[in-house]
Amino acid sequence: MAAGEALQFALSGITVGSVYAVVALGFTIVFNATGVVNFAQGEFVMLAGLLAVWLVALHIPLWAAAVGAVLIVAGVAAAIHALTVRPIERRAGHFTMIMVTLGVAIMLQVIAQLLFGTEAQALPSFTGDGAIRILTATITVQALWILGGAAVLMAGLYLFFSRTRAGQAMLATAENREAAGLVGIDTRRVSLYAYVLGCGLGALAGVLVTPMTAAVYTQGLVFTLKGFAAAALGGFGSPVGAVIGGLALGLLEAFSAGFVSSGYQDLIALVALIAILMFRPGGIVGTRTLG
Amino acid sequence: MLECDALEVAYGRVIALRDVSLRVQQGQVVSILGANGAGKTTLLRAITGLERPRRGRVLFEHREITHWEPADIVHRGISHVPSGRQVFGNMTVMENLRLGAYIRTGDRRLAGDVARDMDAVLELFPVLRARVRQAARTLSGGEQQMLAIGRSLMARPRLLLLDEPSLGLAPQVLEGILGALQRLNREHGLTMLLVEQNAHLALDFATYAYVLETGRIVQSGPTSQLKASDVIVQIYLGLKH
Ligand SMILES: Nc1ncnc2c1ncn2[C@@H]1O[C@H](COP(=O)(O)OP(=O)(O)O)[C@@H](O)[C@H]1O
Ligand SMILES: [Mg+2]
Repeated sequence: MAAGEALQFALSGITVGSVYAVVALGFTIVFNATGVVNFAQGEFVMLAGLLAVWLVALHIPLWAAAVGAVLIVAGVAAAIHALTVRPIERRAGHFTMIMVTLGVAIMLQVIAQLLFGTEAQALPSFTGDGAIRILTATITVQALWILGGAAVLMAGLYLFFSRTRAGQAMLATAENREAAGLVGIDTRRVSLYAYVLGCGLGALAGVLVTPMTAAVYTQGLVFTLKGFAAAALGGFGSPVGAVIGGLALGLLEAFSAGFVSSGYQDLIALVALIAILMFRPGGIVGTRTLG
Repeated sequence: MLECDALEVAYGRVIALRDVSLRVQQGQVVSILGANGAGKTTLLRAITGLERPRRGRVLFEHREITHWEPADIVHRGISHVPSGRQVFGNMTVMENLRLGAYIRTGDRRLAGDVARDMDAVLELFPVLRARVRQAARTLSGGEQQMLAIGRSLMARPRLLLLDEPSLGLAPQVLEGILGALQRLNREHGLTMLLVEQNAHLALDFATYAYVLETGRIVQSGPTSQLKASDVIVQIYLGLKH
């Protein structure tokens, strides 16, 4: 392979991979704190993208539209938590939870279709459509926003979990809900915050990526699949695993699209998911398994 | 201080506690002894809101707390050292202790108090001091038990509930832990309710004891009297009255 091409594939792989990583982190945070595998995760990516487009069309400045879209999604997530997660968390079996979260996903998709139509809609890049050259490869300025945004989010999450009282309460609840209750943590409130945080991360990924991909009401499922595959690849339940899994999946897709053919990306995520579940169910970092 | 009134707790159709009434006075060390499966863990779980009693009441300092959430009960002053220790294994010893003080760490004015309590706990269990940055899961069983007790103490409870702290510990380690608990009772007047399978330990440690057998209290009295009776034989052999 040409070294120049490899650099180009690596750059785009890491860019896409960091979007997957953020979505996978959202999955992980929700799963750890609530025990719910949130198959609606990708719908929040979709919803934030479409909301941002809609707000921009109302002549709201792009940055405010992006922030607004994330906040609206956070509000929607809080409502969904109250209506669907609280009644089932820690009680229902995996099958029930999957049905419920899939139901939420379908509902969000239908609502998005009714509100925003079926057309794919573009969002302007944050700071123009420029690109810069790195050695033999080019990277768009929006991709730099994605990489920078993902890095800031990851650093922020690290600080949140290691340094703040709320973050420690979330970790404690994830690890042992009963013991967390016994030290005085309101675990039901933590579950709500974790759900909103996890879905909010999906929304942030959505506003970062939409200028590159456009937004359409059907795209949620793809992000759910990719985020889930990334989380499973890294090791379900591990935040570090989510990041590694996301980057690994992005790279895998970019290189195979470059050398085999594009158009197989989604298949690759599925194959990677099945392979990891069969041969290394604990994932790359792997401490826990689903089930 | 603590009063349980005709408590009944069931898991589905299995009734784990039936008509259990007991009292703990301020400053007392009380133990509940019973064989494996007698309902000791269930009793403590019902007191701290982890199980919902079907009947009966729990009163703490004259206030009914029967259907309260665990988090609200620790705010009221009861701290529960659960069965099997339940430390936060992926978190450090220091993080575990700070989480123990969770009900106070939201208020910056109490930061000094929390730091002093942390020091007092590490004074009480010096082996933990060398391990404050270690993940709790890397500790030995005895150290984890000390951490679980230390975490509970960080809430500054007025009543400490202990679920079989002796389980799986070497006699020497256990002696150290019991000594520390005894100091807490004598020097700080901390009230304790201990549930134990180890009848000798329970009778030596407490001044008053209840005997639990398949979910019912079958005997109670000052430990000096119970020691003289055949209660230990009954528990070990599971003899009925
Ligand atoms: N989660 C549960 N589900 C069903 N039955 C339980 C559960 N926990 C305890 N039990 C039953 O309740 C009874 C009392 O258990 P437990 O309180 O753990 O006793 P002990 O702590 O004295 O060993 C036992 O018969 C046990 O099998
Ligand atoms: Mg027990």
